[in-house]
Amino acid sequence: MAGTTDVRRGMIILYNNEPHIIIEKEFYSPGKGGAFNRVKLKSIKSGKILSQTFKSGEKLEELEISTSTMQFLYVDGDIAYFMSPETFDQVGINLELIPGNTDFLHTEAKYIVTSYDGEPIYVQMPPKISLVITETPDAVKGDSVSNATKEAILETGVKINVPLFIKTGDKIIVNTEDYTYFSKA
Amino acid sequence: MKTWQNLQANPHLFQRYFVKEYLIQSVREFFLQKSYHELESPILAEALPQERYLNVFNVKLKEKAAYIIPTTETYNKKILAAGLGEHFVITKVARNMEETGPNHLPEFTMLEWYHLNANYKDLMTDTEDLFNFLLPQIADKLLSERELRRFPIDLSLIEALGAKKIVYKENIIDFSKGFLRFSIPELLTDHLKISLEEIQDTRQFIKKAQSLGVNVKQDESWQICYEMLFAQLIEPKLPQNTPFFIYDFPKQICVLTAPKKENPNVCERVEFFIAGQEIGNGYTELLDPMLQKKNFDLEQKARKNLGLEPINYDYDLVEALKSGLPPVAGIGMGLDRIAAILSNTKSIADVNYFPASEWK
Repeated sequence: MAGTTDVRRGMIILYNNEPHIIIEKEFYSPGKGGAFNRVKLKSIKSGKILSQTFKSGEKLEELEISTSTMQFLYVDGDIAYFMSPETFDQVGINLELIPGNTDFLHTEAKYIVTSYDGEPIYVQMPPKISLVITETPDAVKGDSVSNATKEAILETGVKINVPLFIKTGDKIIVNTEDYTYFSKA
Repeated sequence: MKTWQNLQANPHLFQRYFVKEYLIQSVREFFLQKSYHELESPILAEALPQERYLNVFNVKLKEKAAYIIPTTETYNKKILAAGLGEHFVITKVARNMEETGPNHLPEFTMLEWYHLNANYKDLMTDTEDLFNFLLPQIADKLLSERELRRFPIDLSLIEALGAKKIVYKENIIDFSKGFLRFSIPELLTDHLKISLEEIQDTRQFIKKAQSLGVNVKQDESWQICYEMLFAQLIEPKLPQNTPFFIYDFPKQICVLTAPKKENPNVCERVEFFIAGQEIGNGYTELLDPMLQKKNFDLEQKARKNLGLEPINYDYDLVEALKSGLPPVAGIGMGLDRIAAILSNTKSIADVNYFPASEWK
């Protein structure tokens, strides 16, 4: 167990004597005031989510966790299955622990799986992922100024806005954190 | 990828930056129409108002300690003492905070204005008038740019600004009606059933806050306890879909604000919020030089007790107050946050062409 003042998403801390994962974190500083981190904590045992504010610089008890890079295999019901490319070990992880559920799960991408006490507790998305567009309307000629973006459905089923020149079948790079178009792949 | 590279590949993103450009132009037009003068503020300062949690950028002028300004208020007050009268200022200011984030960058663009013979309630009306003027004005400017066909500009953005109903994240924010107003004593009573009177004692307040689930340590200050309580238990309950003001701030967090005559526990301070984000902070300005000096002395001592670096004392401001200022109310607003909200942009970094957040 280590003390840390660096609060980040995905970090596992001991809070009220129970392991919690930080699922959201917002740095907050009122104009004339102190500095704080407003976080959402999820209890690893009960799944209960609570909001808490920590003073910036406050020491938190970070727990020893292990991480491994894994490949996504498939989803069955509420469980996503991943495999270690080194040991070929497979693990099933509840979709609730995966940010965006299946939105950015793709067999060609790599994910960082965090485990505590041997149990997977969190899956970190790659910040950027390449996906193929399965459906997007054709841009209408001469309409290039009226609408800067259009909606596109990607191969995982997630919808995002893309520039007009993107066509069905194109492979694009998406920012997984905010669901925005980054560039053509 | 740097912003300039992203813009090269995605010219439709330019419109966010144009919203900020036109916001600044329109603010100028609003105040010039009211015959306000524009103050050009320095960005370097030899001394600053004493405030305990000020995170300043220290610079050196030869061997002398100096600062990049975190606000302009010391200059606004001195120029009022000089007799300039009603004025506004638009300038970059800087705060050396430990983190950046969607709402925080080390430098940002600040608007301040000073309304003579007015109090904090007049600032609320001024703010409503300002936004009523700004939104259609920015819409007009975007439309002119669109007609030049140099950049793709979203028609729905122009229409939303023109109708004063803008989309931000999942909400539609309605600027077309009067903004809501909540007093802090009322918020404390309504949401937490506590009165300011019963939490004047720091230890008792901390006990109370802890019992409500606030993660505040036994030896914290009143201010930190209040800010944590407010951030955790009140702010999340305030409306997201309409701009609003909170006013009548606890006296413990009002270094430069006039006390309210009718209630000794509060000062005449107001904050302006859009989409749950703090956008502006204003006061009926404290004009009593002796009380101002007392507040500064207290803050200077508090900084020392917190182990923070001392800041050169702005005695010149106390002198200016001694020479006499007309009754005045002043407010500062973050233009980056406004531009980000009006253009439905999640981070203020994305309304700055060269944000510090993209430094290596």
